[in-house]
Amino acid sequence: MKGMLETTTKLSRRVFAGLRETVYHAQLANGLRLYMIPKPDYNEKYAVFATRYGSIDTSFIPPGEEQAVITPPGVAHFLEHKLFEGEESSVFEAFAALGASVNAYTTYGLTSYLFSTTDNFYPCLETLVDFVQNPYFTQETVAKEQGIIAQEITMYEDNPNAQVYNNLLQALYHQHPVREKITGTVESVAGITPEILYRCHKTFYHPENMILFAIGDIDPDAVVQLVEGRFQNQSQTVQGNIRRLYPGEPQGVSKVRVEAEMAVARPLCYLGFKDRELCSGDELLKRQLAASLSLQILFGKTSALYNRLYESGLIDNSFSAYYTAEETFAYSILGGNTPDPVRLEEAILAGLREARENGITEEEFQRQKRKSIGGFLYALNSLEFIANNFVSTRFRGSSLFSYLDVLQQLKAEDVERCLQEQLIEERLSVSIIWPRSQ
Amino acid sequence: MFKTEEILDGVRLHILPTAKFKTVTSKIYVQTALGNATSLTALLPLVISRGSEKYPTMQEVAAQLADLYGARFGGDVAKIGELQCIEFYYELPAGAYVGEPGLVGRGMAALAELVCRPKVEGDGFEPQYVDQEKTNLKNLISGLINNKRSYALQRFYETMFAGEPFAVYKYGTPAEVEPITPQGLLQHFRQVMRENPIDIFIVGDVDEGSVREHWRQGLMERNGVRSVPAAAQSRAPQAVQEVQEEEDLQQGILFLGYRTPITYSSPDYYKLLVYSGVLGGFPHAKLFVNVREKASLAYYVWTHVEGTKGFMLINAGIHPDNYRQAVDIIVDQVEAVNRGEVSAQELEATKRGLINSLLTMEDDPMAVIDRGMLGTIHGIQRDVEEAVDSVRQVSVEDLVEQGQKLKLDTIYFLRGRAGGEAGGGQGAGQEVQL
Repeated sequence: MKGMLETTTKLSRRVFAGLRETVYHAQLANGLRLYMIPKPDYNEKYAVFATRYGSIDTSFIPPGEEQAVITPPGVAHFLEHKLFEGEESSVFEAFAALGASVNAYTTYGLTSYLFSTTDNFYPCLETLVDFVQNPYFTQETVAKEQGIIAQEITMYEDNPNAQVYNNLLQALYHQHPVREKITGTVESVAGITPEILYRCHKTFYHPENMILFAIGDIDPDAVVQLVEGRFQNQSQTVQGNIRRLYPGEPQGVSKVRVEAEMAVARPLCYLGFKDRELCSGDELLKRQLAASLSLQILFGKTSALYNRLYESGLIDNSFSAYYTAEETFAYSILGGNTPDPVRLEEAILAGLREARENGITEEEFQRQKRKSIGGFLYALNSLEFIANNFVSTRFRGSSLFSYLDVLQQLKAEDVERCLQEQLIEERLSVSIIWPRSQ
Repeated sequence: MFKTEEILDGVRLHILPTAKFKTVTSKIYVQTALGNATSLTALLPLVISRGSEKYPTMQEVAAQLADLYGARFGGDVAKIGELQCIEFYYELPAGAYVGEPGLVGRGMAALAELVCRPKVEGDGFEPQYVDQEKTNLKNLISGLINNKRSYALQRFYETMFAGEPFAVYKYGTPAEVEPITPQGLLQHFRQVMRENPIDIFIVGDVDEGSVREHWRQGLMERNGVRSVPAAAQSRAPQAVQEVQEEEDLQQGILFLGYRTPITYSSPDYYKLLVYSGVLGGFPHAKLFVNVREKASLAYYVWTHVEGTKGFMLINAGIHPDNYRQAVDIIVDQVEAVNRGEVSAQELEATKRGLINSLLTMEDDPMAVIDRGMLGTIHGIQRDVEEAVDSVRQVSVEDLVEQGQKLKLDTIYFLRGRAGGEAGGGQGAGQEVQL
């Protein structure tokens, strides 16, 4: 069969000489985008088949329709679980028989199915494309999954880090679905039916809304030919735009403070700053890098503030600061374990005020830039990192391997702007977990 | 395979030169006996990371690392069998990727400086650093409760291995931390660096000759060198002990521990790995299929072989009301494997899965180093082909034989307090794994 199939798809190639990487690209008639990176000296071969459908896509107008579809929180994640159960066979067993390990995950913006293998790469790839494209749901299998997911949700409920983080997002956002848990709640998941799942699958798992990425000791031509073959009995056309609907989100935060009690030894305290400057493509990548650098400069181990907080015992090694951005929401989060959340918050805000007055030095900016170059190179050792981040960056309209270029173009002013405009008290919510009083 | 050479008395340098990775990864292990001076040893990497003669403050250490393209440096202790290993981790970009061929040499010099010439004050470590890190260590120990699975695992170890060094938590206890002085700590540091076995691992694009020369010069004086035993033999259990404890949590955490005389150094080690894999190592495994997929009782259920001590554990997160049912299903599945009720497909899929993970580990410099260290401790270096071959040869009869050696020792269950809180909390991180 494979030999008879004519490959009409054009394969293009781009070399990133400094990184010693080559990316191959093709797009099928149905809109599916394929990306491949050969890595001949690795044993592992890794493929990802991902849809731009995440936990925040709860409200949308399917292509060619007028009416909005509104779904309960947790459908993207539920669908991810459910696709593993085919009509006749278990997907786990199919991959197991090939010696591969298969997994999947759901984020705010995407759902990703992946396998890792050292052998039987092409049969695995075939299995991956087929199981993701062939849904099978019944009342019975949906009910069974509700039980498993309820245990998953309970597991996160016992995790203080997950709790403090989720509470913070609920405080930062009034309306935007990023405030809901990716899993949904036990109650929202109870409302999921086979009809909802089929509906969402049809809309979001159209190849046009998806990316296939493969990396390892692979042949890009063979990948394209195989994937094209898997779609030959399906419609070869694109479906058009999915209109994603997000509620209007006020610029300010929903709550300035949210507190809870749990079985922890010491309090957890996290500060979140909501970012209202939203963008996409390379602009978004630039924004991410600028915001991350500003956090490193202000709160990293090289900063005076971090060292002051550490020496006074207000923070320890659990302290972290990072920026998250998608096209419709963005925020910075910083914090960790502390003996005194109130004093920690005061000290951080005082530190920020001081930094705003003094500004960021060129020396510190250059130092953190160098550090980020190294950080990126470390990450590229992992095929899993490359695969997952290549796909998520593509969905945002940018390219993973633009990272170093965008970083080089960044100026101290870009970083300064984050400090002056984003990390300010009007954008702040604080989430605290106190030890439960026994 | 690493090229290993004893460069000083009791100091082994293991180098794996390769251009496969974009970074050079290095790890230093200092072996000590677990349970001898646990908190004292655990405090060392924390205080050492605070500053050195040349970079006396944490801020200067961090700036220096950032200037080396964000070289990563960290210290911790790891429990490997009944050893408590002090480990220092260091990674920096290979010079070729940043246009600085001398970068690795500078990095190695910085690592030796940080580890071997810490900031001292008179005859002790810097007292302020010691005080602060004592507090951090105490918080680290009491903070174990924050992660319920890690907490339950430690309580399970303390129950199953009561009276054996393996029961000891790798950071010790707050009471042990309290009396530590800057002088006592420095004395301990000098002693272990002088007398205890040290292994230095390096993976990446390096010049072997200059690295070897560097470490011959860079370390401290050695004398009175002694070896440390890896682990005592796992004893056979007298009777099954069933222990339940209560904590403030919603989901119950279940452990079953089985002892076996098989350890990493045993020729039968890979048979045990296949046994564990068939039972609960993969999503196609008996436990996953029967506890999760069929009975819908758990989100996670898995098995783990601890080759450094000689036991296998089974772990699941379940609703407390389903305790008996879950234990029954698990024990049934263990018995099924012991009777040889393993299909050709199950066996083959497990072997392929294990081979896949063994080969994949070769793509991760840290995993390569960890395996090298396991081999060093157990005095048996197997290359990956040999391991793959051992897995390939395992038969159902081998699994039955392994089943006869596995003896259930402890069933431990950590559950919510009776009449405890209902659901309704918040959860979930940024990414939710399957």
